[in-house]
Amino acid sequence: MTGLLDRRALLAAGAAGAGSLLLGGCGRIYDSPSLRELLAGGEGLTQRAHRALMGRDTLAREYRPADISRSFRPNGSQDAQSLPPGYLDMMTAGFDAWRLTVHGLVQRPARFTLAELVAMPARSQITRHDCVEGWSCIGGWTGTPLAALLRRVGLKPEARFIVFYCADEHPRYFRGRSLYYESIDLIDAFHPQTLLAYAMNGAPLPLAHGAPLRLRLERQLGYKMAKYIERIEVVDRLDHIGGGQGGSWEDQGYQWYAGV
Amino acid sequence: MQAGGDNGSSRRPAAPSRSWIVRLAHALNLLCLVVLFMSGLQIFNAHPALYWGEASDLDAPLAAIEATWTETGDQVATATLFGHAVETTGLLGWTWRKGELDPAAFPAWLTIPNRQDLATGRVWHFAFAWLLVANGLAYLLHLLVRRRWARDFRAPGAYGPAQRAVYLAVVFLALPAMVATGLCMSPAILVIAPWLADLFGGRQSARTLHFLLAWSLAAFTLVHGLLALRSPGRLGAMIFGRGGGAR
Repeated sequence: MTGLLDRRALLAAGAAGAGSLLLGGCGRIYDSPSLRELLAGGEGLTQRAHRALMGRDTLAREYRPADISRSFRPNGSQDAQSLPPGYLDMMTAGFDAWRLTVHGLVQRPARFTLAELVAMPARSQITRHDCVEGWSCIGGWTGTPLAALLRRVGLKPEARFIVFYCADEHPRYFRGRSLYYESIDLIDAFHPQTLLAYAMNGAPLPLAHGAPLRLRLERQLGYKMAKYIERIEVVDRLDHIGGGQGGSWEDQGYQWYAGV
Repeated sequence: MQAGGDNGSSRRPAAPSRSWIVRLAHALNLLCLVVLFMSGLQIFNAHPALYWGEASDLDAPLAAIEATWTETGDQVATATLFGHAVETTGLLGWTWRKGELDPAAFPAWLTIPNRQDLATGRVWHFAFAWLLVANGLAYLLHLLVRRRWARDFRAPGAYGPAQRAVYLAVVFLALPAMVATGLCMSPAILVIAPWLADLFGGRQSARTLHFLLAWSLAAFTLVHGLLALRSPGRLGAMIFGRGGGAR
């Protein structure tokens, strides 16, 4: 019986310890880099599991026009306060001065006007947008498939990631020192629904949704879908860009693979 | 040998002994449920509103918790359910953290981490979701392979009918539904299996059910734990292996 009591005492002490660790305001446990790394180890597992179960080109569900959400909440930056001075004037002028630069590990670096992108073969799709916060909205998008653009510039053999550099700084534009950026791998880049979208619900892309050009990446969460895109770089690694994690939110601890 | 059996219950046989596999699975399950519940509330706090259907009707949630200010600058929080609003300042919406009102739908002490941090909450939630699933599958495999099913659930007098119904519902309905509705939150999973969200009425319905099931499981865990305290033989069997722990 003494053995039992000892074990019960031990168990109670253990439970109290674990409980205080979790509940007792001992928040330092969450700041431990090694523990976080251990827990985040499942991210690779999740991505591999999804990729194993999903066909390379399996499409996200597409909806009917009647399903389009009455109000579609914009993610992240959405107005002039997040954009450089003069951006609204450029928009008013129909983005005539705007160019999309494509460079990096490509055969033929190029600059595109908005009219040139619109003149390329387009795809339209009505899809569900899932925000990392938990809400979903359904919207219609028209744009140039990223695959078509990448085939036009031609990838070099060592290309592995596509990086999108944006005009906005979240939450507020400040000298453009930490402009929004995002990155995806080639499997997602060549997916048929991955678009450089310039229209939403049949109208030119609104400012709040990233005018003139935003990414649609239908198999991942909203924060991957860079808005106000100005430059696309093809790279072989991500660790030398920004904070090294592959995107603005990733640099703040969010997962690079946002399929969950 | 059965010194610590059910107190004064002559009709019931002594508590069954538990194998180390069941005890380990039970302990891991408890750990997972606690971490998943608390990190889940962290994720909920990022958008404390619930909807029905495939997408969110952002202007008309089924339920929502809001934190705002009055014109005079006072914090005021409301919880709305089917259009009926109740003031919840201090309890929900604006909640106490380190002696100050914090704009968190559920209070920081109930979330992982104990401050607003969606990214870290997600890391914990997904890690323990994997552990919960692995643990659950190992337990089911054990029931099947070792044929523990009859002994653990159907032994005469092992459980009352209501008790058995609740345990079966938790293990074979609530926990699988929890995993399934959780999977519906993943856009990639809904590419692989779009029908999964349809089962629940759409992605946002699945999210609402995930939230309701989370609270149901939390309530079950609490009541189950309190009842177990009244039955030391069974509690001892689940922790140490043998009723009463006498060896």
